[in-house]
Amino acid sequence: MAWQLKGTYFENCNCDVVCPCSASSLTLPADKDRCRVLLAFHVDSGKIDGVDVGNLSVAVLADTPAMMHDGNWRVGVFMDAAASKPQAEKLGAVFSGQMGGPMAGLAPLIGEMLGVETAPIQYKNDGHRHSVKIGTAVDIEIEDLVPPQSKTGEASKITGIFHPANSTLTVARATKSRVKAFGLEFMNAGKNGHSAPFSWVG
Amino acid sequence: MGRITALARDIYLVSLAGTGGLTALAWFDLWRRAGAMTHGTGAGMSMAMAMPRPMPWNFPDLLAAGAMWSVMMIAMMLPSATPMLLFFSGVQRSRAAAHGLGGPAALFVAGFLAIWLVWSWLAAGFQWAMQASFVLSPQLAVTRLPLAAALLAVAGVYQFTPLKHACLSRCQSPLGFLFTQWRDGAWGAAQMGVRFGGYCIGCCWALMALLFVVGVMNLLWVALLAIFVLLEKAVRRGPWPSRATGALLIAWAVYLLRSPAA
Repeated sequence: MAWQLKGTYFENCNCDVVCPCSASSLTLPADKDRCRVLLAFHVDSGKIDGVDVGNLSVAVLADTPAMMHDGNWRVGVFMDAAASKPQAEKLGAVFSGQMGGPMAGLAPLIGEMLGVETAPIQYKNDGHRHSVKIGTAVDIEIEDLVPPQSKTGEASKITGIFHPANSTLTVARATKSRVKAFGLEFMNAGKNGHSAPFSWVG
Repeated sequence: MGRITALARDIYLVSLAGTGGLTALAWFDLWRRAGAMTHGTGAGMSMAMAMPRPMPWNFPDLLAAGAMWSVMMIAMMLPSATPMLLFFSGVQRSRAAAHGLGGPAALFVAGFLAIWLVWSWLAAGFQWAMQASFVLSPQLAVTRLPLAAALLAVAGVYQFTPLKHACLSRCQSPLGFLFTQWRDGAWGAAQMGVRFGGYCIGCCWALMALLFVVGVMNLLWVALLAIFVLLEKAVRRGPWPSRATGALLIAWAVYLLRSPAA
């Protein structure tokens, strides 16, 4: 029953940089009345119950109260059209927290499902730029913030947080952001972003 | 928007009231039937027909037994499916607000119950077969210890199987079920209901068959089994609680076989 996934992650929400929710591990409220966020995952390599799920993407769209820890999240899910039926079922099981792992902690916060949509997902990492295109529903690109004074070219990071993807996230900003899906429509360009590699086992 | 929100809230309340009402009705009917059996005061002809009678059964007997099993399964299984049903009606509420349409939650419930009704009629057939072989008591408990032990052992061993665990883990996670089994539209809602009911049967069929050990009309055991099924789904502690129960059932089977009456 064991599974493991490795890949990259990024998010973009409607908070200003830096989002109080992620920086405070969900103990501080968001900047706006509602948090509108897209969580994008790209699995580089992974196996769930023996099914290879490498090179596939999953994205979660959420509309939550400002105090994210209060729960009652409204959530829609994008499943990669490139996933076969068994692949989609296994990925769904992991990303819903059904098979344990980091998403199992998030699942109790979800109060409503807006649905599951299967669509082609183009997820790209290009240096400090991370982008995702999901059919005609989502078009987002974020860029990690690198201090102009930096000699190493490394992005600024927040560390020591509780987050399903990683305990360290880059500080980033959306350069492009358009979402229209599950009855939600918003543009978060110029707003907060984070990126990180993730590595889960369950 | 205000009207849509109000409508959506109504859908939610109707789902809750419908589920609760249907369950209460089923339990009430079950209680009447059990009363009619133990006191022999026929609370209507159909109830009396569910009682064991000299063979052969006629068609009304089969109808009565099938109806009894159907009522019992609704009473026992609907409560444990409530989290899923409420979650599903929440989905429909959101979608109604978003698109102005949505597969009605009632179709999901109908799909769920339909597959359980199929199981109910199979159980009625099983009851018929056992009554025809004169191995059931008036309380519809098997009178042959080896047969009782076999039913317990099957239910016990089944608790350890991967199939049981696969079905249980799906029943435990309404979110996981929707993530992996989503179908759009009204027909999709019915299909999802049938699938969810299928996993539910995969989870509980052997436990339900234990009713033949403790007495199909033993309301205390009917309630205990219903509560256990509810807890097994609500308490998410991996496969071990189920396996521990399985071990107890196997121990019970061994105890029956070793008792002097066997």
